[in-house]
Amino acid sequence: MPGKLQVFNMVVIALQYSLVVLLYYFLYRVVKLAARDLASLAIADLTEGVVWNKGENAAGFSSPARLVVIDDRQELLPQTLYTIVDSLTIGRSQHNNVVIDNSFVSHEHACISRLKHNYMLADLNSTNGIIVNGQQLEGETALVDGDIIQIGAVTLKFER
Amino acid sequence: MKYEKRTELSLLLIAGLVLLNGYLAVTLANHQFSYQGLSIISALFVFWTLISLTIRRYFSSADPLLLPLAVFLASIGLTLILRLRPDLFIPQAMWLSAGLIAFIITVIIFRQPEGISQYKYLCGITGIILLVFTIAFGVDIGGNKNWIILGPVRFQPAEFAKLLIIIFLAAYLSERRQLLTYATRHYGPLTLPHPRFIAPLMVLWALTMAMLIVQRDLGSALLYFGTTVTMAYMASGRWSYVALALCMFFTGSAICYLIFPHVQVRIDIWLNPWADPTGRSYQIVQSLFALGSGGLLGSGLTFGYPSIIPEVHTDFIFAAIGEELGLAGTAAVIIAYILIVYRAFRAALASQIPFTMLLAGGLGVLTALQVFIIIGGVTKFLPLTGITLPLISYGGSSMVASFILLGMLFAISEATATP
Repeated sequence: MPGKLQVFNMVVIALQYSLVVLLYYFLYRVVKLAARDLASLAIADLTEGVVWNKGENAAGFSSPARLVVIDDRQELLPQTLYTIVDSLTIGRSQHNNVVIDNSFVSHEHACISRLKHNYMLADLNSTNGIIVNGQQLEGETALVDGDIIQIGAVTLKFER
Repeated sequence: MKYEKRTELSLLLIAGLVLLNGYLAVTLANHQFSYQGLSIISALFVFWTLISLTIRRYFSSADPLLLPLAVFLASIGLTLILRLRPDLFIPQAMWLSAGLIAFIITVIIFRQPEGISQYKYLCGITGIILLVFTIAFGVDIGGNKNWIILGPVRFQPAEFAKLLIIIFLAAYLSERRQLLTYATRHYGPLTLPHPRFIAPLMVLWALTMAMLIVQRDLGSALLYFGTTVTMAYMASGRWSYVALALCMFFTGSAICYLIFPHVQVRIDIWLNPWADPTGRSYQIVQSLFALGSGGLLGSGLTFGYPSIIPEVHTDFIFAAIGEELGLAGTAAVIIAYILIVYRAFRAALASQIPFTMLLAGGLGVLTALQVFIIIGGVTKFLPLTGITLPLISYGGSSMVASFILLGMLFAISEATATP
């Protein structure tokens, strides 16, 4: 009988230790996943210039450039950041990617499209035009990182 | 099988093993092993696996770490409740199931989180009514004067009110972030927004002060106030809010200390618990002994004496973890909370809509502050408080509210994951 009791006690003690081991095994797995997630974001940051505007499962496909809203005092835009996926349209009608509901903005006002490694900003014959870095845009221009785009009451910054 | 789903299921399996191991360790040591308990654990395990499988059919890319972390903490909680108060094990298991159901309902309601912002005034007013009700008609159960009894139902409305108020604040602040940032007035070195725009924040300040005076509850007051201020800072990016708010809070607290004797008692216990170790400061002194005797690995479950501490299964459960699982156990619990907060901030940063960004951030701040305040209270870093350790403490309101919070974060992370 004492042998049986001893085995039982050893099982009880072993369970105490295995509980602590299990707790940390769980945390190890979670931290590993979180770290992998961070690492994939860091790589995306280095190669594509994207910091955090991408989803959990978008690893194979990352958005290459974005428009950051830097001034929107009339609160016309619902978002503070727009990612540019190949192309992006700006205007007053609802089907545009960036809808600016302001009478100063034309229905189809502007369009950004990707041309190999460049992003081209085009004025779609809008009534009031686009101001890029303080100058009225004539026709089309290639955007570089940090360009300030003013359309109506909204100011956007191009980042890549 | 999708990556997220596989991750979540395997982590849930490990959390289930934690519960099984904890159950066996406790029941074999104090000879209470029963197949009934084992079947309850199996039922819980099947239940949360089913929840995960159902929810992954519609929310395929949401954060796979949130639900397992919650279940992990709840498993530790269940193990400790079983050890401290075996009679409350079955009720707590039922509260956990209720929490999981609340989780799935919240995820469905918040499947388009930006739509919730249109109910902001409904949420805000309901939250404030709940709080005023508790302050006015709260009933004292087990030292906490924040219970409401409605016929057969007893619950703590403050647990739900804080979620409603955070939804309101997120919507209100995200709509007015421009005003809060630009429409300012200068008062000497301070730049503050127009008084009209910070009126709701002042109402919350008055409420927290009322909580402090009427309910003697510094913990909840600090929790509400801290969350409000941090959210105002997140929305506007202005330090002057934080400075002003801290001044107001400390002035208010100092006035309360001078006027109300019961606040003085609280502070005196905190400053010198050894003046009256067997009387008013019995609880905190026993808690300190428990934490101190635990050491690195603790005494082992059922081998310590945590039952000496009053209210050990609710507010002071952290001291019991410290005594029986030692530094190893307490560190594991704190790391799990840090990971939940990290995932909340991650969801906030990934969000492109100001409302969901602030909501996720606010929920993260709430969790972090609540854990900080109660652990601070138990370790005598802050004056004694009466709030629960989310997901671990015994209690239905707290458990369900924590799962609602996680449900919101889960839905937000899904909405931000799909571009």
